[in-house]
Amino acid sequence: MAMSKNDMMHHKLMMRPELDKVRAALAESPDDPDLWYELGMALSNAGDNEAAIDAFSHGLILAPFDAFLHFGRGRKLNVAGHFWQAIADLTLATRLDATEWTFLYYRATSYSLKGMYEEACEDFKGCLRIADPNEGCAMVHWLYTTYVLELHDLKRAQESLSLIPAHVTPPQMDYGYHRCFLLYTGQVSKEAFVDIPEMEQKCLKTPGRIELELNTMYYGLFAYCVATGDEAGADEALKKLLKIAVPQAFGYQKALAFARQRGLC
Amino acid sequence: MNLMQKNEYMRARLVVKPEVEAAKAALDKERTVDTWYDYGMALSHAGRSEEAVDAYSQGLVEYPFSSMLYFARGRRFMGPKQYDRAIADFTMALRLEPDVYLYWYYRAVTNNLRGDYAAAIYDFRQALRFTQPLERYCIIDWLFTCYVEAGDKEGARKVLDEIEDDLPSPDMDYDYKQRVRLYKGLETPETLIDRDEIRKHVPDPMDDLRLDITTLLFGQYVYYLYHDEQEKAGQVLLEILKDPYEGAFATVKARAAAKERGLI
Repeated sequence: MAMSKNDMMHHKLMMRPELDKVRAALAESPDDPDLWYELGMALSNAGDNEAAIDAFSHGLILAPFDAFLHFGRGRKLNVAGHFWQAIADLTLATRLDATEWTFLYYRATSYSLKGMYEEACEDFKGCLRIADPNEGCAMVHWLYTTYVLELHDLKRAQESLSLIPAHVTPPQMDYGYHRCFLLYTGQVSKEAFVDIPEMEQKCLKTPGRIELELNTMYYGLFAYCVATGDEAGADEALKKLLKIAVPQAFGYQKALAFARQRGLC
Repeated sequence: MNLMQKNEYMRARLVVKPEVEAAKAALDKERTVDTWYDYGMALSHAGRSEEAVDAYSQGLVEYPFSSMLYFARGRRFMGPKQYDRAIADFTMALRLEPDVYLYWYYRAVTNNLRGDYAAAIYDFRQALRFTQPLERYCIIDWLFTCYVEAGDKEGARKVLDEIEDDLPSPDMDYDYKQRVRLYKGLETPETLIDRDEIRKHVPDPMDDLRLDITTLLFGQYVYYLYHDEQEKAGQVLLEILKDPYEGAFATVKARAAAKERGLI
């Protein structure tokens, strides 16, 4: 049975193929672009980012209009610090499949990491126009935090909270984003915000997931505290985030910069 | 534009040398494929290759289906041996605009540089389809080289029949024409390199003719390979590498061949 669109994206993002097995499969079928995608992911997971980029590139020789290969390569080009190359690939992915909001989402995070916040926000809003509202917590979280922390625009931050319904049923992987949304909209208090037993019950059961969600949540709490004038609470949230430290998390990377600005590290 | 006009236009775009400041000003005034291309070319000629790649990429964000920008970026990837990235870009350019011989040509050259002679031969043959006879010296030269390097002397010999002996060439192809004349026996290794003749024909000789000399010397190498004169072939490689013109295809290939032979 064919995978749903969401399942396909989840599969493409989360796969952890074994390098030896992919290489063996490629030896049998060297012209299979999907296998080159898998090789790229395997190499990336093994820490060889440059080889991953080459693998995606090789796949693109075979299938130049494969949106996922551009997407995969774009993500790795970002890791390598080749920002404009990454944005070009992610842009093409969005043009090849305008119904896939995840491509736009990754372009938005790329813009944000580059300091192009207005462009990032436009892309997050673009995601919301395509995505199911129940999938919108991540985009609203990044809009809210960007408007508060980087664009210093509390009005637009508040307006962004209305871009999805107040009550949504998010996917399990969006636990942290949803929790942040509940905080920003006053549906959960700062005091009740972090509930570890609930997290253990409701989050994805994958290694390191709780820490990843806490990274997201403490970043959200930091932004909320700044928005509400609670500077002490903001510092506290940042310190907690830095202690958990998931270096590859988007929130961690941004939090580190703020922590340095605030003299916390 | 007919095919000849298109090819002439593309050859002209290949050799633009704008100044960085002027190109940036033009880009700031109006962001088009051409102004992004010129800016990237300016950066490239200024030795700022990574910035050139960024410029082409930034252009592609605005024009994601520009064959010209993929082509230009692909050329930048040929430098640091990022062959897969180069070929991916050339392939995209070709899918967007398959009748531009230079796109086929550069993908073919990249395939040759990575040792895939069969793919290179295929691409050079595609390039031939979109050229008039007098535009073909560079392609015939490369085809001959591919066949020789692949060990197919018969294929190499036959390729020489695909171009007339007395055909004129555009000035920018003077070196390739000389090499083909050498392979055909119309020149000898001794008459191949004539500095006065080079100056008469090459429109913008670079760096005291070093690029042209390097290119022609590599033709001598291929000639000796074809005639199985291995010792002379090795000597020519060392000659090229005494004063290598960095960035020339001939230098890249000479270095690789010399390493393979254990000469360096």
